[in-house]
Amino acid sequence: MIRTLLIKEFQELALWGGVLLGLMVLATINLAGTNPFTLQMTEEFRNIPFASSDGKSGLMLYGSMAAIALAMRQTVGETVQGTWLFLLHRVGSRRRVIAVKILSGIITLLLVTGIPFLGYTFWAAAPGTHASPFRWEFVLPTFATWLQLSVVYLGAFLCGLRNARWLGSRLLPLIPTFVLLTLCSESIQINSWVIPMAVALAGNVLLLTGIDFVAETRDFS
Amino acid sequence: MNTHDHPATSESPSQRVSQTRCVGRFVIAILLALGLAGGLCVLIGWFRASLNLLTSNSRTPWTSVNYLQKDGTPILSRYQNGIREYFDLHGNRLPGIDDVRFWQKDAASVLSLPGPAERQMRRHSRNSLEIVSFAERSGADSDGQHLRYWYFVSNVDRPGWGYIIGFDSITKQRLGYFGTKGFRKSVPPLSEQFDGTQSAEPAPWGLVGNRFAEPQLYGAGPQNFAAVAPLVISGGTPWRISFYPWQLNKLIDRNDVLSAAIHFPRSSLIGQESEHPDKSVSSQFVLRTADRVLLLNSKAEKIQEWKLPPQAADQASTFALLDDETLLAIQQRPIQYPVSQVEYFLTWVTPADEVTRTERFLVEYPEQTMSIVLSAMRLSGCPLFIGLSDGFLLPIMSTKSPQASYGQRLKQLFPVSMPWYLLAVLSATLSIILARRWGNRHHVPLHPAWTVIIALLGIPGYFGYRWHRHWPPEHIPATLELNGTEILVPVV
Repeated sequence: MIRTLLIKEFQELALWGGVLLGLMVLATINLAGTNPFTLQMTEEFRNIPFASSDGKSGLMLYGSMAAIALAMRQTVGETVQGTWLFLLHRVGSRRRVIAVKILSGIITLLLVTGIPFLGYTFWAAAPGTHASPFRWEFVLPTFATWLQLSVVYLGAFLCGLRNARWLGSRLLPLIPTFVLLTLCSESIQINSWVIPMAVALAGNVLLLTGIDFVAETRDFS
Repeated sequence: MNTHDHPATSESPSQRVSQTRCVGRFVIAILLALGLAGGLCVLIGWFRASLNLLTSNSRTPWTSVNYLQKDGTPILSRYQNGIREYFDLHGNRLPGIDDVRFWQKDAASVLSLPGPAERQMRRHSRNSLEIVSFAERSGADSDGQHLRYWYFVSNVDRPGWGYIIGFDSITKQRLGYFGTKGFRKSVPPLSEQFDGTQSAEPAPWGLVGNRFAEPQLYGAGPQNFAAVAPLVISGGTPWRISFYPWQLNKLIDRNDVLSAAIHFPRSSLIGQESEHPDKSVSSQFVLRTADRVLLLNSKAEKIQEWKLPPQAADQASTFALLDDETLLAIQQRPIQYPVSQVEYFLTWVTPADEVTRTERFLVEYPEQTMSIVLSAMRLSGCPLFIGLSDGFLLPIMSTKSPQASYGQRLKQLFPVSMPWYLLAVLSATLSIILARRWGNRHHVPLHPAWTVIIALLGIPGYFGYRWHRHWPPEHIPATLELNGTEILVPVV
């Protein structure tokens, strides 16, 4: 059943994931000093890959938007289509169904954001592509931020899953998750990444607990 | 699972589910409360910032001492809506001054020369990943646009140490490296890397000179770029990098230099226009030690030396060289944090080490971003946020007594924070009363854990408590394992 559910989730996320991946690729090309539409190098490219904060900030912004879009597609999408009951009446617990949803969502998010990130990293590491230094250690803070995007995904998943008014309290959990992501991402340095990563992990655990509570107690009928 | 499989003291599955749900309830309520408090902070901050913007014309201007009249009298300036305006110390506007021309011809510019206080502060805050870059125009390129980019890359394992690496802007190929033994084609070994740990400059290596924006600022053309070649302070010794050919030379044989600056005497700038950047300007070097300021000419020969009085030696971080060879040391001290007033203390020192004049005055500053953030956190009515702002952020950011410990600062700031602590207590008490009344109305007694959470989060905590579930509470079975027949319940 898990395999079937995973296939169903990936099929549903394919279109959204593809569009988001395209947008992320365009943003990354722009970050690398090239106009994404004309593919011409911009004259005033002074960005030092991974050493200036443009890459990390861009990943945080666009990655968060992608995380919210994917999580909402997986939760609000089911509500709009009226398919929650159908989905939850499979052979298996609610917890398992929700866990499969979250797993597929996080994998898609990491792919959508990770492919451009990986491409940018190899571009930055290749000699002769930009007139500035590159060291692999420089990548670490951005890499950590990439992993921390799951905090926003889980926050958005909780918002989508929780039954509340859109103009009421539904989106409130997104605010602390954004703050948590910003704090964890900004406090990461090459030599001190353990504590911010541990805090982000703790945030993930708390959000999963909250999601579990909502999934177990919400009346989906 | 059969309950007989467990000893009598162990938790049943339903108890475990109940506990998980309990934690889940707290998490949802806390998230909602933090979201509400954070949202309130954003709204309050936005409102205050908008209000400041709307009333900025009638408020005390944002001012800074960046310029001086010919005799060294400070000029206050503010930059607003794309226009820079100048004021005397009494707040009277000085009309008819064109910005660039005024800066170059009619006023002495202020040099940033951080001293012992900054070195002490930066010693603990060196980042292992800091890159400062500067550009050097290739002499061979006639259009003057062919730039070589030079970067100082700090050593990840030894913060404050590092080397310089160069790239060609057109081919994007690596040119080579600079270490203490000069130019080389490979990464300098640790023994040949620059030691920036003694430097008081913002960058660990104490690099000064022309960075990207400055060629235009100084109006320096390609041929005189060598005149503003960068300095690297390594182990207290200033080194000058020469690009024609690539060489490293000791500027002066000293090992106590904390910071350095490039100075352009006003006399050399007269006749210069920003539209004609090719005219040559002669630069001078200004070096700062713990208690002295040295002026060197472009050939690194000492022209002048001033001994700083003790207070200026400790606190002054900006200086100006006046036409009569007097050195003006500028100290500035925020009166409170967040900054709304800055006290300036000016000392005029002659080359004979005489203090000829001192002046002290207050400059008004507008509300800083951090001030808006702190007040938004206080006004959110969340005791946790109030504790964070007044019990943590304010003491660690306070510049009133830089040497004081955290506890001493907390004590000093207590009178300022007192009303906010009272607001926190009031908010906590009120929210507990409201939550109890809400619980009584729905026949749900307030659990001690809820009391603690609501007390910490205040009014937002009360709303988190209300919004985390449906009221009145419905009985929810301990397990919701489905068997597939529930879908038939409406039919049955």
